Amino acid sequence: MSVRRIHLRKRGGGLENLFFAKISTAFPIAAVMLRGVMIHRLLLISAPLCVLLVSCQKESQVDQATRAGILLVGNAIEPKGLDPHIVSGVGEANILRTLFEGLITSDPEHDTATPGGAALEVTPDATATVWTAKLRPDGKWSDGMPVTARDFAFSYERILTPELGAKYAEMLYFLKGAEAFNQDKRGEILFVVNPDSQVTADLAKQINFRGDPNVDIKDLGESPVWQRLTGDGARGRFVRSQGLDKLAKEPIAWIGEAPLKHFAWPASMNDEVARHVLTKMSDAVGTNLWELAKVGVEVVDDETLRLTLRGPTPYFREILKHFTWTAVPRHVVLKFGKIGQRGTSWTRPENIVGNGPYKLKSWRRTDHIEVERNPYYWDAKHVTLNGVRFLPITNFYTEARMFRDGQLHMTYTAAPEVVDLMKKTHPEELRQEPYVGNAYYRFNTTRKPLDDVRVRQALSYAIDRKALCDHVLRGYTPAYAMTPPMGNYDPPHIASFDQDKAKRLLAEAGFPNGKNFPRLKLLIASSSGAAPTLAQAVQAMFRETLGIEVEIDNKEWNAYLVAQQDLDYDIANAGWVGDYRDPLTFLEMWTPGNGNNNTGWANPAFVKLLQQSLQEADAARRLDLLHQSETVLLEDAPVLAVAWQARNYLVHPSVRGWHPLLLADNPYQYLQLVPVP
Amino acid sequence: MIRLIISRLGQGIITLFVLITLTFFLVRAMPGSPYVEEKAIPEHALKRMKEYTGLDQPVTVQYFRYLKNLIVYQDLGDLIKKDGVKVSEIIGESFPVSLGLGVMSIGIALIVGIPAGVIAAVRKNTVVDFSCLAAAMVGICLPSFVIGPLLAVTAGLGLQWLNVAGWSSPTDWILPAVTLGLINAAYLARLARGGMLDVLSQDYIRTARAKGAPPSRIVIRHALRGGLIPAVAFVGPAFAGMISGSFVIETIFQVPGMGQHFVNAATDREFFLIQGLVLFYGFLIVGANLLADLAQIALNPRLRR
Repeated sequence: MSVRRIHLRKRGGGLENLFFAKISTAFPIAAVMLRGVMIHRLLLISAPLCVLLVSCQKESQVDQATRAGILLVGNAIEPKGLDPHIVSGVGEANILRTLFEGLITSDPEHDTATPGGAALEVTPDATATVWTAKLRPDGKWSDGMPVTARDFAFSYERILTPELGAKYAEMLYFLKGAEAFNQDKRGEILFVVNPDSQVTADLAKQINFRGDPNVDIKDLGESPVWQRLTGDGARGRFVRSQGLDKLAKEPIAWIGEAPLKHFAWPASMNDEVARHVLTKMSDAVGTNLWELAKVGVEVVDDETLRLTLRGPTPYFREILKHFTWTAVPRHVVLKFGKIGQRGTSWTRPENIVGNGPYKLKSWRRTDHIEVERNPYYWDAKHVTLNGVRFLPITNFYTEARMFRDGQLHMTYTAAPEVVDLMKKTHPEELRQEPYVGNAYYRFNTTRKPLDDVRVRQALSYAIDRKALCDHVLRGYTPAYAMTPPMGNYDPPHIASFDQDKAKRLLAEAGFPNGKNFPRLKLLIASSSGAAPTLAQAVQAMFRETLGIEVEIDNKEWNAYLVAQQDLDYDIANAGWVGDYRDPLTFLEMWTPGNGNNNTGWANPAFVKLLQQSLQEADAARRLDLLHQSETVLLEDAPVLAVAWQARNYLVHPSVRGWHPLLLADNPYQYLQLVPVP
Repeated sequence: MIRLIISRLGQGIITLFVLITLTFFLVRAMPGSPYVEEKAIPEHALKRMKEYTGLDQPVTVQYFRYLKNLIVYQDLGDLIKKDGVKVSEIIGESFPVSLGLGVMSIGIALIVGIPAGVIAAVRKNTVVDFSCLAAAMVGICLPSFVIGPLLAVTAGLGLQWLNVAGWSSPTDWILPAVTLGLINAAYLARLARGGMLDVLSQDYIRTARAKGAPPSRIVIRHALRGGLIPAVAFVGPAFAGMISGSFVIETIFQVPGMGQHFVNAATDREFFLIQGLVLFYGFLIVGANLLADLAQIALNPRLRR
């Protein structure tokens, strides 16, 4: 912890001169007045004060930290926790990157994926489906225990364990069988993954394991409803809607009394097979199906891990960099609780153990988190930075003031006003870098007139994206697609500004010059940065180009999210930052049922192309499929791409070795702090 | 006196109970949910998360469970979005910071506000009075999010005397305490002036003057006690407000106090944290009001029956 010291400097000149030198810069008139009147008396009284306040030459916190080799970073939020399997969010990821290390980490020098991290190498087979990771023999946890393949296997099992309820477990669905295990698809695991003599795979697919959403049980109230169900009809309806996977032992036993009567089985099913299925399902209730699910994680030996994926994944190295793929220490996690137990105390500062370059030193909530060197880190001798201190500064203006005052090496962001100021005064400290994120508007395609593709396209053509980027979204690039260009992927050039086309499309849809067009609402969250200004600009563009009026509907953040997820909006402001460096992270959002879709849009052609890409081993052909799927998305326009994000932030000149990375997932350990005169 | 204390305590308990109940149901009536994120949480994970916090139960079950935990185990519950963190931990960590800052601020408010009000009253309708009034008016009108950054830029960036924000150096409390103190000083000055003017026109003051008591003695011995009653009535609740932290002050000066949790808990729908904070704040208010009552009785003999 760096506490500012006050240095008393001896100077040649008298106190008097020193006092006036300082006073006259601050209050020139006061200085003149004072000099004339009561100088001696005043000096006598205030001499001790002057020594303290005036002659002190403070050494800034940044200068001290630079000497101590500790980086002071603005981190925007108080982390929700330090369990990589539970949390999500950029602020948390920044801290986790210092404490835990995945098989692969981002290269500090170049913006490419090169094996670093806990594995010596991660190599694919010919189809890019089976990947073998060779772990470092010298990898150690921060308590000195060796990091083994078993730890990684345990970690993947843990995040996928249904009881843990990890919200980002989806990131591991690349592993074969992971989805079925995580979603506790018992029927699929017991009868498809482990084919049974009596139940063929075909038959298993016909059995209603997952429930039938078309059976309405709303009038039965919330679960657990079993006790409240009396009539067989109601029970039967409940069972059909839930499916066998979700049933407890009691309902299964009830079906068992008259198996063919109580459940919707396929036509070819006989009583004996049904009984067999029910017995197996009943035995599986509440048990961990990890072994049976055959998730593609295999410990070959202590240093070798074999990962089998659901399909060819040539970009798998990029996926592995995400913090959900980092390992947690098996021996520590299990000491404080079971594998699927939430909220145990293993991440408490006194207990947490990681394999990253740093370990937790101190954590004072809403004040700071500081990490210090992990002496057991395999590359400890090359770690140049002694520690990182993360400050959860939520107010961006406070953050900028602290930077200017020498309290931070690096800010999390820079507000537009700060960008303008820094451009004039300290351009060398301002960083403006592309970021894998986009800004867009969602359309509610279930509402009139937005269910008409021509209307959506018209709205999209009416937006001058360049003007928006120049005047509102500083540093952002006008988007012609949803996915920002990355690697070898150049997205289709479809979204553009074309007023004539916009007018024509709207007229074709039945609203010439915007006549009779209903007044739509544009949903924004009051707290999200530039959204209000952006909405006003877009509102004006719609009015000028199309002659239509939209009303800005400003909601508090949580209510804004709920409105989108309930499809209770017309047009909604949104943005997304990719989880990994591949177009898939921006495209899979738009599959039906994805937690990000929220537009009511579903297009089988889009889904089919995306699925084909998941089976394509050839990298170029795969990108082509993704390109095609994005074309479908943009032509259907359930979303209006506005811009690709940029990161504006400030970096102190003493920080060396900070290279821009698209995902902003820079490792901290190899940074250097050089005092600047 | 003892009867008064007992009746106030009884009222306090009823108030707190009503407060808990109202808060409990109001937070659950808010639109939105603690589990809403930009990317909707998958249903199967959501189910487990709700089981973990007990929010999958019907609201009445949750209510009685909460009351039981509160009364039997003195447990305010856990945070919803921060696994394994107790509400009592958050309050326990942040309250001492806010308490310290609040005491400093109220000290500044009293030292600046009361003398300013008294002097203004004594020098009624003079330049001194008008400048005090004008300054107080400015203090009341200017919100803390204007005064705070102005002070930070002047004392921190301009004069380089203090850190603009943060909570690492022993001098870091000065700017937030001054900001918070000055705003309350303005209110205090106006209240003290009004109270003093009232008292200074009373007969017993005239009697004291007629007897030839020196003006300073009249003000300090005779007028102050009665004149400060409105200010004291204000100080009680204001003190409770100040020691429970201020969202604006804490975000401007990066202070790890309790005020930010009031706002963030509401926007994050941290049900148990809101309930805990409201209960704690209610506790402070009840306590502070009781103390203010006692102080008024000490100042005003007519209230002692």
